[in-house]
Amino acid sequence: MRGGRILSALVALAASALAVSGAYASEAMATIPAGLYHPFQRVKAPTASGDPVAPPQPIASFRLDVEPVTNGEFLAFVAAHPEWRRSKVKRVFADERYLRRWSGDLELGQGDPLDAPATNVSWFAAEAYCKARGLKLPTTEQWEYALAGTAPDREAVRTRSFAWMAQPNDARPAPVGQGLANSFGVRDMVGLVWEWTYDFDAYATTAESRDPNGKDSAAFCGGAAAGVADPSDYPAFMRYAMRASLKADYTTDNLGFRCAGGA
Amino acid sequence: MIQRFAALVALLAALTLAPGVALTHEHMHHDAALDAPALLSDRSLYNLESKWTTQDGATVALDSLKGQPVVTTMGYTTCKDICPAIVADMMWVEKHLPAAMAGRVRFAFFSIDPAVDTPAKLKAYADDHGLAPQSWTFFHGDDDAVRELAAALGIGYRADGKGGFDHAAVISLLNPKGEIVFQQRGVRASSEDLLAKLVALAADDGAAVR
Repeated sequence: MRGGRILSALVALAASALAVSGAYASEAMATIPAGLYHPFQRVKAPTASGDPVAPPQPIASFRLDVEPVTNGEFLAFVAAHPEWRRSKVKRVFADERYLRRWSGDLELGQGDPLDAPATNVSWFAAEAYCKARGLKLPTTEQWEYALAGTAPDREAVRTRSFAWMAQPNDARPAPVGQGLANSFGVRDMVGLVWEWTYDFDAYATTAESRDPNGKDSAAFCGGAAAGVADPSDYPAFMRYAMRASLKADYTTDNLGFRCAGGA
Repeated sequence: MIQRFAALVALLAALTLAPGVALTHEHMHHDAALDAPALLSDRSLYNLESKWTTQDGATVALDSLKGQPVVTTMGYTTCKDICPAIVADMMWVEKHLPAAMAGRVRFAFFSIDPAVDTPAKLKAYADDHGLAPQSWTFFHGDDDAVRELAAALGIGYRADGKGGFDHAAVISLLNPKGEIVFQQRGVRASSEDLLAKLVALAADDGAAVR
């Protein structure tokens, strides 16, 4: 019994030594160049007199993980930060499905590879992981820009998205790094897992928060429901709808994350 | 016994090779758990560790709200659309509190616009609306504190690029432990459900004390 406890202390120690020495801090990041971002949401709804499309927004350069954060990286993090272990996490920060496929606080599940994306992780846990690396979750704008900032990528994203959405989810996500890198050098943004963003619920549009004066078609306090730039972009609808459906403590089997930082 | 000894040797070796932070932390955690019962419920918002500045310039953590029912929202003071209606709803609740509850409920407004809503601005806003500091606290925090609390309260928001914000209209009722017990989404002519929940909460709390 005692030996078992010492052994698990050793495992934790080894894992945290790994963490402290930077094993999870060395994840490869791509520098996404500054450019123009084309918002999916319109500022104003089309009217009889015109169809105002939101002007492209300048977006600053930033760094983004090339791949989603893996089980192995998240394991090292929880080893170094016991408050994020499955048995210790506070319910306000993660629901009861948090890391549910792991077989213990510091053990992955049977057949759960170290290099598969970490899933069943809440927004709070994902943000804490990024913070431990001196990073943050990417904003929705950053994430969407990195997904398809250049025209050739946009078509690839659609094709890949349709293929992915047409398939039932795998029992477990495949290891990261198998997808083709896009023109910014990032991969697996589509086709492996959905991903958290820093402001995942910022684009939620709900009828009950509609402007009470009805003076525009706003959901929220503002123009969030004025429509979208490209109604034919079904995968984009899916991404925004999926994110809007989340709550920060939610964890699910096919929702992972990656981190971003300043340039 | 030999096995234990070997494990201890390995442990010591590991300690000399690696920074021992994690082990120390483990022990502290363990001892704390033995010594004191959990002071905060797992679901309490007061587990958030962010620091805030009130309209009077005091630096506080969220748990400064502990021990009383709290009616809370997030918005920004230069908002022309929905925020005035949200605050009006909260004022309606305050006005309709049973006499016995007067002064026993905290109304808390957290700004999502830290750049503009300085503590001084928040104080001016409170004064302009006749919101007395005895019952109302306005909070200014940094971007991450605001985003984290908004996530915990389920309030999506984003800058609209014109100096304002798109944000959800949500009023939350917290019990004295800091758990969310009710949320009103959207504004109302009169927030009767919210008031009823608040009165029920105070009745529960009174019963528990007796």
